[in-house]
Amino acid sequence: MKTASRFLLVILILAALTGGWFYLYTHSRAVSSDSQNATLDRLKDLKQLDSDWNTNVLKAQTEIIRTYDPLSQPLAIFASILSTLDAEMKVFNDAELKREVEDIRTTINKKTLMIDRFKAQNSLLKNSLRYMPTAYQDIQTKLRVEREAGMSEGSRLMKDVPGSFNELEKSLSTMNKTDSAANASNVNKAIAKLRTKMNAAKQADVATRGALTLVNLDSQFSTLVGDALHYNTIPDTETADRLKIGIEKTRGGLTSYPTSIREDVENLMSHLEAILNLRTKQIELLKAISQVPVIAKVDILHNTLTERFNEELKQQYNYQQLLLAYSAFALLLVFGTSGVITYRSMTERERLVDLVDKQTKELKENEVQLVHAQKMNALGEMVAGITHEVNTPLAAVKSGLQSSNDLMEVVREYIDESGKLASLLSTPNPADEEGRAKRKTDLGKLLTRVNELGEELTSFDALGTVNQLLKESIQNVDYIHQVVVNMLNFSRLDRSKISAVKIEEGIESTLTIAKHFLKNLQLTKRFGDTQPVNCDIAQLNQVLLNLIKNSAQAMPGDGGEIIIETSMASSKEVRVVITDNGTGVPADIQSKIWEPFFTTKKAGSGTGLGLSTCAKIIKSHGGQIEMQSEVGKGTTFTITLPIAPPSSLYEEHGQEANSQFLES
Amino acid sequence: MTNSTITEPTEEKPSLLFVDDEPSILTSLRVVFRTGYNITVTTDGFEAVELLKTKKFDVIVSDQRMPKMTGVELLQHAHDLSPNTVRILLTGYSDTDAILGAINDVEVHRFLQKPWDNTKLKQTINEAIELAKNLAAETPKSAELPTVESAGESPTSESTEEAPPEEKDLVLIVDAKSTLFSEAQKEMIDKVEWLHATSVKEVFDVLENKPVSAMICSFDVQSEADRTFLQMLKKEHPYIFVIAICDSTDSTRLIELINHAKIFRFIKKPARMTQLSRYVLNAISQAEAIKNNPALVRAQQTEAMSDSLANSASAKLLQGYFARANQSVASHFSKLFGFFKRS
Repeated sequence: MKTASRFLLVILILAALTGGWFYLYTHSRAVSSDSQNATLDRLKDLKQLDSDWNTNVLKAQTEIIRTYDPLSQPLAIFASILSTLDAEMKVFNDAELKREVEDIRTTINKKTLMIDRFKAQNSLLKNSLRYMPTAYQDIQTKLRVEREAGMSEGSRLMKDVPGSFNELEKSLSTMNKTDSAANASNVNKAIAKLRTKMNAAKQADVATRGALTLVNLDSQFSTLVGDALHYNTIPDTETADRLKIGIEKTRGGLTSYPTSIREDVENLMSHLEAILNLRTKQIELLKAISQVPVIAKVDILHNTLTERFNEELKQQYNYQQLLLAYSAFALLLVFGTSGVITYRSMTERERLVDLVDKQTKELKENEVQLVHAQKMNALGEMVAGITHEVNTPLAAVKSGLQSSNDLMEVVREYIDESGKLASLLSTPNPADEEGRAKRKTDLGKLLTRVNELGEELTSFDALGTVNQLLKESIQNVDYIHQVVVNMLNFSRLDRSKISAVKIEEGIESTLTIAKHFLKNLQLTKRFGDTQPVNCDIAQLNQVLLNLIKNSAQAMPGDGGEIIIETSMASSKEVRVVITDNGTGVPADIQSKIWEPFFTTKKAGSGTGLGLSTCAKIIKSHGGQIEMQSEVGKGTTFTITLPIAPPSSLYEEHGQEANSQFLES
Repeated sequence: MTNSTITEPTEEKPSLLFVDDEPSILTSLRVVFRTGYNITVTTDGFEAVELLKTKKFDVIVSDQRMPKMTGVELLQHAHDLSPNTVRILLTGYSDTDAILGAINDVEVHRFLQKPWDNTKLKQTINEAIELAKNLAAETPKSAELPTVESAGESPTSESTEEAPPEEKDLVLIVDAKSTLFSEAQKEMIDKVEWLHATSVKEVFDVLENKPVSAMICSFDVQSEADRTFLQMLKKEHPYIFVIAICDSTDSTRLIELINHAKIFRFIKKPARMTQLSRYVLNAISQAEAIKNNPALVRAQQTEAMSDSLANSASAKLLQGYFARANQSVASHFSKLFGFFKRS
């Protein structure tokens, strides 16, 4: 139970250690720099894409690229990168990061809207730019026609002017020669003619001048177109102002223009205006587009992410440090524990050795005590037996002697009185009457007393009784002597060493001790011709007493028979068989009867050491003891003893085997 | 059986029955009681039982260790067959089980030990004979001494029926601890009023004021003072039946307690209440019997105290108590039983 819980505890501690280690290990490996770099790369891509986008916008504006595909293509890529980022940000579960990605998305959306606007405006701008030259050419063509017409009209008109002058000069010269009215009329006529011609010349001049104005107009338009193109290319405010003023001026002087070009001028002006406005707006838009803070937002995200990554890395670094410390700690723990265990097992071993020594010592002491207790038990048993065996004859002797003493008092008195009577009788009869009378009374008294005493003595055959009492007392004293001798034989106090003894002698002395509990049993002795056994007969007597006592106690109620047989088991072994017809030993406890402390007797009546000690004694003599038993039929104990015991027995008794062999 | 010898019957002579498996013992006894006694001897317990059935004996003296039948077994038979025959055990050696059986089962009168002194033996036997004669003379034929069995099972004898029903018997528990008293208080409350004393002084206080029928004494059998107290108590108050409770059994002490203190029952600790109750009922019915026939108190006579005990310090101390208490107790009991002055 305790071991199991301790084992469980160790398992738990190890599991906790391993668990902690794995926790730290996984956390110190959680940050993947690859994925981080991929994320950051994605941000770079975003930035790159954005700047490319910007470039493409400019390219689109400068017509390096003519389609808007490069402007819409990034959208899909943006979307995919953003969704990837979304997914990646989810891992962080960080509102800030999410918001920042969302910011990027909204910024890109805003930029997309602007770019869409740019695309629309740019289309218009490009349209105006494309159609402005056409409009200008139209004006130019028309102006050239106008000019051509004015110029030819002027030259046509002017062609007559010199003729008129020649006519006039001619008239004037005629007049001078012919002073005549005719002449005068001729002159007047010439003058009128000249005047007309002069008017025509004037008209021609006007026409020419008009043509010249148109040429100016043409250059004016040209300047405007040039300005517009310039503005388109380099949109500076000066040009814009000039263009604006030019357009206003042109619009203001529209009525002075030939009607044929008015519409075209109007057209051109609207183109110019469109270019001016669109370009101006476009500049703003481009500026706005370029100012859309995609990169800034990306940078923010980048920074935040970098921060996060740094944090993660820092945390990971912390975890790594922790893991390192933890690993060191665990290692220390393992080494420490193993050290402690080693130390403990060493000290424990020492302690165990000490404990075993101590317990062995205690066991030996206990054994000594138990053997002592058993000896005392046996002694008590012996004393009980002997007390009874001695007290009974002793009582008879004491009582007999007291009675004899009493009787002998009577006998002594009888003899005394008889002696007195005899001496009185032997004295001569006194001569005087008085003396004779006294002698007679005395004699009578003595006779009566002697008779009384004699009667008392004969009534129960006093001397015979005394004789019998004394005889019995002698017998009883002999018996007591026998008991004492047997007691001595049983205990062999006089020779506690190993000596050659006939086992039958031991059996006889044991039976004396056992007599008091064998009273109502039939005892049969079948002694064979056995050789003396070298043994500690006192110990063997203990064994025999134990076995006989067991047999006697196994008898049900009164009666029962115990048979003791001796024989030679082989030339070197003596066998003793003790058989009883008692209750027998149940099969289930037959194996237990040799165990120390085993007893079937009720508590208090036995220490249970009997048979285990018996087996030990027989074993120390190099012999065997066996038991066959059947419930209801009886039990047989068989002891086989070698005539020559093992040398260890001599060692136990502090004797040398050799000398013993020589003796025997 | 040839072992038995029946001396010619003489009506006046007291009749004795000696049983011992050792013939020389019987020879010796026959010589001791050769004149003035009508003695019968046998070595066989079964024959002794047969003799008890056919013949009246004043005293039976038996050995304990005998083949076929132990002395206690024989005396048990004698107790049943002839309750007025005074029972004496004559033993050379007795284990405590035998002594306990002799006290509790057969109410043996005395223990005698081998070897004995003829004079003292005669004296004890003569006292026993006198007791037997008295018992025989004063016990009505119809109301014999209640036997152990009948006393235990039906304590309502004639005498208890006559007694007023509200009058409970007083039983004094002498125990330094109160556990036994508290346990006992749950028992037999309809028949017995339990009293408790934890010291000798309290015992005398109770005895002065109340007619105690029985006493349960828990004491140390090895304590000289306790034994002295019990012996003197029984000597002074023979009509109180004492149930002794001890934690150890020592055969010598037990013999002393039966011979000198005439303890009624002996219980080895721990005392079982069932056993104790049974013994208390026995004691009460015996007390009733004495109340009805005061002569029966003779059976409670004790042997004189041994000199060593009689001269001990505790004996002298107790003497004072008894002297002081005697007067009041005597008057108390004389009122109740009217025999104290006589005895």
